[in-house]
Amino acid sequence: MKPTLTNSRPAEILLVEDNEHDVVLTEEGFKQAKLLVNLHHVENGAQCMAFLRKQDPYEQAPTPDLVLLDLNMPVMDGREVLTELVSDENLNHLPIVILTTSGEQQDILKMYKLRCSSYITKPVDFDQFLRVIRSIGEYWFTVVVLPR
Amino acid sequence: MSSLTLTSDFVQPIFSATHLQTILEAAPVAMVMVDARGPIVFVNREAEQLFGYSRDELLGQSVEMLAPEASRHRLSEWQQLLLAEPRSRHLGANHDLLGLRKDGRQVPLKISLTPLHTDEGTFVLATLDDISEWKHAQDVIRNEEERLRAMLTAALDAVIMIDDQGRVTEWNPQAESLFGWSAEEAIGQSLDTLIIPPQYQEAHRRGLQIFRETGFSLILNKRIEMPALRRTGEEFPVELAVAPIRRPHGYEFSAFIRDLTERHRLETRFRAMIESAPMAMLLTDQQGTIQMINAQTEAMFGYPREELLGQGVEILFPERFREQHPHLRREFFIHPQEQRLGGVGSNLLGLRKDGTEFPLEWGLGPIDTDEGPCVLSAIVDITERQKMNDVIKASNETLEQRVNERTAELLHSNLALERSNLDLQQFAYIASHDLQTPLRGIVGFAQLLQRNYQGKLDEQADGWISRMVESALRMHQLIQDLLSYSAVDSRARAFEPVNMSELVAETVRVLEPAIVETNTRVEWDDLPTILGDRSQLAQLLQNLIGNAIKYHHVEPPRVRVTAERTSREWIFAVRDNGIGIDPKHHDRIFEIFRRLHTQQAYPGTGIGLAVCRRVVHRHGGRIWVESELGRGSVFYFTIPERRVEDL
Repeated sequence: MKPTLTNSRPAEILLVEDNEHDVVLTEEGFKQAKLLVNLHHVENGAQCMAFLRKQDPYEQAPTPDLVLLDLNMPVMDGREVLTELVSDENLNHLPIVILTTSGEQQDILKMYKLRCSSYITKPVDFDQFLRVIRSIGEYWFTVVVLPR
Repeated sequence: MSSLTLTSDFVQPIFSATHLQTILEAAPVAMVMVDARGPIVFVNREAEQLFGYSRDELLGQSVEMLAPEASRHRLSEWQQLLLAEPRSRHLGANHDLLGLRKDGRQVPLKISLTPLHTDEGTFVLATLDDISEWKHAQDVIRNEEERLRAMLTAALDAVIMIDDQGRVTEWNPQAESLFGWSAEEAIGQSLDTLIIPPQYQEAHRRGLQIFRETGFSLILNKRIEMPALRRTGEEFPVELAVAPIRRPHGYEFSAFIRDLTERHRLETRFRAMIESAPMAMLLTDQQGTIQMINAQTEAMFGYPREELLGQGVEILFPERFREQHPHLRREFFIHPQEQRLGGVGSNLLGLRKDGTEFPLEWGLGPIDTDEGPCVLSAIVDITERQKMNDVIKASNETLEQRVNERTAELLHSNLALERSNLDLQQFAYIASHDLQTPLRGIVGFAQLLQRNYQGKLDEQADGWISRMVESALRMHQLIQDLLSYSAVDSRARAFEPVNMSELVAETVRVLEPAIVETNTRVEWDDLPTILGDRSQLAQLLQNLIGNAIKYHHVEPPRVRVTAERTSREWIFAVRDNGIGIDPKHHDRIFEIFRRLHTQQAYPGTGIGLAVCRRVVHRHGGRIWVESELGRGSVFYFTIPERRVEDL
């Protein structure tokens, strides 16, 4: 499926994920899904905040169109990131999609209460994972109108 | 009062008629002379005064005018008598003679009549004494006597009087009934032989003699108790008080005598009651002096009776209690009412003769006696009771301690359980995230290998890669199942009313693809509404009905869900016509990951029935199976009857 980006440029996606294998699988997923994206990667919440606020060493980083946020991470986890983002005037417009292994009801409820944009549980099966990646691309970059 | 009486013998020729008249006139007594034929021929001054007539009004008149109507006839009788037998006659007070005065008043009179024979014929000279005052004095005396007699007669006590020789002078009706002798029989008799028992007769006589000689007596004016004798010879107790009465010729003695038989009987009964009481009893007077005790008191305090009688009651208490006792006793007599002192838990102690002390309970009540208000006490030795109480207290304490220990243990195991529940939830989380992440790596990269290198390696490599993917996916499934098993507790929801018929219908809709595929028929009765966790009960039904479909025989599966009510619970049954289960496996099938079949024959992880058991247990019920190989199975589970108020 050919992605149709509204502004005809690669979508900027920030992947906040501490697990290397998941990062590779996610990159592979976007590649196999044939989505044209610039996938940026940080390993924890602290780096994520620095990236979004363009702090050292991310002064040159673009503002992402979408953040894929894992929940369980060292240093600063996804819950803390979301809590901080929500209260930040400059950043609380960003769509945040939680992409995590946890299917805990508590987590799901809490994240939606913090107004996350979507909550997605990572499927173990790669085929299913691929479908999820495709859906994300399709939904966020062709269906949804994002702020410029 | 003396009267001058002229007799015929006395009238001597030396006195002339004039002399005689002067004498009669001056006599200090009323005189009336009557002609034998009737009319009054002479009255003196006294007579004029007596009758209130003047001489002129009387002389020549019939003497009858001086007599009341009723007694006039007697006048002529006396006249006849005097004339027939001429001598002086004295008609005294006992004749009740009355004179009639001019003013109509009647005067009691004493009359002497003397016949006088003169030359002029026969006359009767009457001398008249006004006995009004004497009569009045007599009446007073008679009244006094009557009053005295009435008193004696009405007296409740027997009243006896004797003279100083011991002879009975007075004997009232009570004395008659008390001793059995009538007054007639008794009066004049010697008292000792009448009512005094032989052993006291000598003392009685000597007492009288001593009094006569010295005026001294031991018994006068005192209440004394002694036995007396009835006419029947029976001795009985009396109380008597003797008082001397001075008489002109010596002394008389009055005795008031009361029968003590009844009082003695009551007293004996009272003593017997006290004596037979199962507890120590004692009677003390207002001064705290012990008046009476029973054998239990002797035994309890170790004193013989005679050592306690007459002692202050303080002797029965240890020294340290004695000081306050007089004060307490005074208080008691100010507000006499029943009280209870001591008892279990109190420190009131009794003191035995041997110096040992013991705990007691002391009940006391006011009682009126002849000797004044007294205190009747009942005392119980509560050594045993105190001991029992201590034992009970000790065992209560032990019990309490045990309860506390058990409570602590329970709290501890509750904590442990809570901790293990937390651990379990922790584990579930770890399983869901930390185990799955590397697993997703294995599956993901293996599947990437499969996708990108299928056919580029040899056939064996392709086979191994797909086995790796299968194994990893199965592990993923196991982890998922383990999660759902632990979720029975960690994701439990509050109980609510659940209509089981509706829930079965819902389950059938969920399982519809399998039902259609296997051509299963699911039937159910009108099932009750029970209180439970709706989603867990749905899972239970889904697992049981799902199993019934899954483990089917050659013919199309038939599943029937029924419910039966007992006194305390609902018994649900899910019945199928499937392959059945060998009874030797009936217990094991509910264990987690326990399977009876190969993955190839019937795929699955073996979590379904384990989850079922966990759900049923969480609802307080039981689950079991009745089945034989090839004959289908019936899975039963119970849900206890609950009411919404119980939640």
